[in-house]
Amino acid sequence: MKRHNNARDETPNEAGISPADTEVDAEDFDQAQGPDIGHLTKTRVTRRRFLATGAATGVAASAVTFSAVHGQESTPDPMHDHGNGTPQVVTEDDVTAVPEEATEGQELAGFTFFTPFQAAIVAAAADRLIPSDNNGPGALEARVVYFIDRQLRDDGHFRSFRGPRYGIGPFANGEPTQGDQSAFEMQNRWRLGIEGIEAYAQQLYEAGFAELEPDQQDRILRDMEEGVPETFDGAAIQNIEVSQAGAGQESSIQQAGRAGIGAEAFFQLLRSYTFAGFFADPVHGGNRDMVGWKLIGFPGAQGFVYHDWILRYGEEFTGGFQSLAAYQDQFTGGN
Amino acid sequence: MMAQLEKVDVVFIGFGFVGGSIANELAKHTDLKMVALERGPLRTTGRDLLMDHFDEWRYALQSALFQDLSRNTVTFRNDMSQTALPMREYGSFLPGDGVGGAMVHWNGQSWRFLPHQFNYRSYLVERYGEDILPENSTIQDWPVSYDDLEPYYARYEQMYGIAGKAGNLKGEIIEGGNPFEGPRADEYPQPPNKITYGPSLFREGAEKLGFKPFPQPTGNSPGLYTNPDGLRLAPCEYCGFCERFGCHVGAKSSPILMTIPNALASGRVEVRQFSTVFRINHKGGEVTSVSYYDANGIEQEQPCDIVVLGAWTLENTRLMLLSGIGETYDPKTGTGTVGRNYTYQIYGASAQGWYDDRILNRFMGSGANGYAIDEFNAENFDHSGLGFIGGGNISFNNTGARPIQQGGPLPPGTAGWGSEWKAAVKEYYNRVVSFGLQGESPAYRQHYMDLDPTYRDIFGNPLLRITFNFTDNERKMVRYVAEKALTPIITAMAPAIQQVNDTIADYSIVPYQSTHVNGGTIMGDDPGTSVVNKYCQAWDAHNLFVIGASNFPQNPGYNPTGTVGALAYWTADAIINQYLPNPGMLA
Repeated sequence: MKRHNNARDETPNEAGISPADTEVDAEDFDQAQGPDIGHLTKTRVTRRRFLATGAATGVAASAVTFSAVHGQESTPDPMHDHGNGTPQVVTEDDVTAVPEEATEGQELAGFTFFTPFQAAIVAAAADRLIPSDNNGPGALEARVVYFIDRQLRDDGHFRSFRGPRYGIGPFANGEPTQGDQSAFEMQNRWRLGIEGIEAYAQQLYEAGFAELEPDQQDRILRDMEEGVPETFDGAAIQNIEVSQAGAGQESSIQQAGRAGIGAEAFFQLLRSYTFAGFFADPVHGGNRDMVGWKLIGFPGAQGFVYHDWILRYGEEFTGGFQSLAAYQDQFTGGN
Repeated sequence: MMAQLEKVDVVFIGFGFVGGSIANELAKHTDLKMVALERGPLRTTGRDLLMDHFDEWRYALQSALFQDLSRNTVTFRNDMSQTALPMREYGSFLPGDGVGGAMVHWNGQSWRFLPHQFNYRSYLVERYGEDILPENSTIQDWPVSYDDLEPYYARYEQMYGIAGKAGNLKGEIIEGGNPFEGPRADEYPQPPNKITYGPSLFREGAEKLGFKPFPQPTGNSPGLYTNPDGLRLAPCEYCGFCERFGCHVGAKSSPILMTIPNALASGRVEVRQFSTVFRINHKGGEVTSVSYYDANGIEQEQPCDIVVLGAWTLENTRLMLLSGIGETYDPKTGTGTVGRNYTYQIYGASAQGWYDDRILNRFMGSGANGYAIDEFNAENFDHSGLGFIGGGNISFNNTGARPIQQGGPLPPGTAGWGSEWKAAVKEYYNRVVSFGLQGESPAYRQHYMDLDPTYRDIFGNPLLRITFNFTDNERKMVRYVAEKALTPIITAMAPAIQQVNDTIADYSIVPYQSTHVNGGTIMGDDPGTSVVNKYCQAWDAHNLFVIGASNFPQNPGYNPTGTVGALAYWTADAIINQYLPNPGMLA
């Protein structure tokens, strides 16, 4: 049985390209990238850009900035000191780092579920899962954290990554083939998972996750993927791989003793939502400017185009990219 | 005691493929008054699907067109020693919800079963002896033959505008079609689709090895098609959003396009949306009424003369059990029939290849856009000495390449995230090919459905419980086909990197595999081993017709839709021409 995306057998980003040290060539980016692309030589800058975007839209600027922008001296204790970190002033440099080009659809701003503290950690983790590098923009530019925020706002007790969820008890531990049996609802899985990341960052580096260097963040994510950290409130719900050959990668979650969500299970949740936010239609708040689609060459909502292309074997499609919003404008006139 | 609603002639439970097809026939050929009880909404192409297509997150991930699991699901266990637990999230299979049923979100793959699959047990025993059958096998012959159903397969294909290439016309083998198929009286109503690049590489590879690839029969319309009732399919745009999505242009055949509009135009069919049936009331060998919860959750009772239960495999079986019609199957004693012979579809034999010199435009396609070979299906190959029965259809369908779910697969060993993953998905998203076996699922004594003793739906009614696993028979079959067919074909296709999967372990409810869920109300000649007779008429209630893949005694290595369609038109014909003139058990 093969697992297609098998990171356990790899040590990515150690011997290979380290995106943090890679000079970004603007030519490697799509045309939608902004004029400041040449500045993106460090992922720390891209992180700042994300935070500044939140600040620039006027939402919770002081809360946003305590967590990550200017280093360790401002790091709060996430378990006991929420909101008591030293607020940092958003610098002119941060604000001007916001891309200025027009974007498709309405720009999301602010958070509806995450606190800015949580958003900064999720954004930092997403930034490592899909980094901005010489292959183009990553999760930060795609604004994946806004996608996740909007989904979690709507994910109550009865929703999951796969849609509506059966939430009626009794709840029991089952076999991996029986799937995720936990009563733990989605919003609180994220709450505990984020705190687990932050606590593990403090344990390893005595610093907040969002302030760490990229290789330190990668170490934490790799450890989570392998179920190493014990900071996830009991490491209790564990991820179990149940991939069927040919059916793609899937995982199950099993409870093991104490309540909460285990590091590996939360890693899978984080990765699933990050990838979805990178590739879902921009209407859901991520995949800004269709950067996820442009990376791989998925043209998007092409309703009436391919019948002329389908027999042109081996010829690269040149019809461009279209979001659902642009598609719908054909019928609604943009209203 | 609630007031009963005014009596009607016919009640349809579920208004999908079965209900829509039969209601349309009854509307044309009788003056019966009909009510359709459908738990979901009525969606139309123009108001729903045209405007809101292409949203992978909403439809494919968040399951907008599927049964709402927060209201009703199934419980599952691999064997009787385990405690079944609910399928809380999707999921191995994706039942539909709403008028048109699962056919609104199907891919469009439309097959006829092979003639010998209808007398499968007899055929195997005659060819090899009883010993060929796996331990605890409960496979059995169908009560109908391919020849019985051929005109009804044809009728379904005409009504739904199926496209393909005949391989056997009245016994003559036709070049370019499936040489193994049963004789067809006529060609397909439409010629094959335009087929994308990836499947053409499979075709070339298979031909080099001497196999006979042919175009996948499909409900994705290659042209403008008008059915005998004047209802139309538009030409497919090959947008790559079929399975899990509704068609934005009305090119993917479904009841909401090809039968239900005409049924509703009669003025004698009333659809009650958001109506959830929970019991079929019966007395003295006859059903008398159907009890359901209306949109507000209030109980209603609809009296009627005839019930057509076409609510898909799971609810067909569950409603029989909730209603106490027929005897519940007991795997310990082998007695009882309702819930018997639960079968699925065997995946796990698959091949992937990654090119470094070809752009495939994988995102263009349709749900049934590809080529297939049938050399490894059922008794199309000799099983002497192999130690297993069965096989399956091998196909490469380019269903599209929606990026969240179909960004890969990526080459073995690729990192799961980070810059290495990103480089790989950029490189290979549009250069990967993948195809595989759709394997036969034999029936076994220990695989069945019954009512769960613990878990209930939001109305308080027991969930359906599924007990199922793969067996060594299927594991051997998967390994054999992977070695004999998939490995040579992917090698002949000469990608830069290739892999073949040849192993299945225990069946899991977690990863999506197939929405081909079968059995539970199987058809047969013997009331001791079947729930309905050859006309899909319940042995225990002559005015109850139960139709669906729930009728399959075991599941061949093909998609079920074509045969469900044949059974629906076969049954409609029996109701109109035999039952209505002389109500009672049909012989």
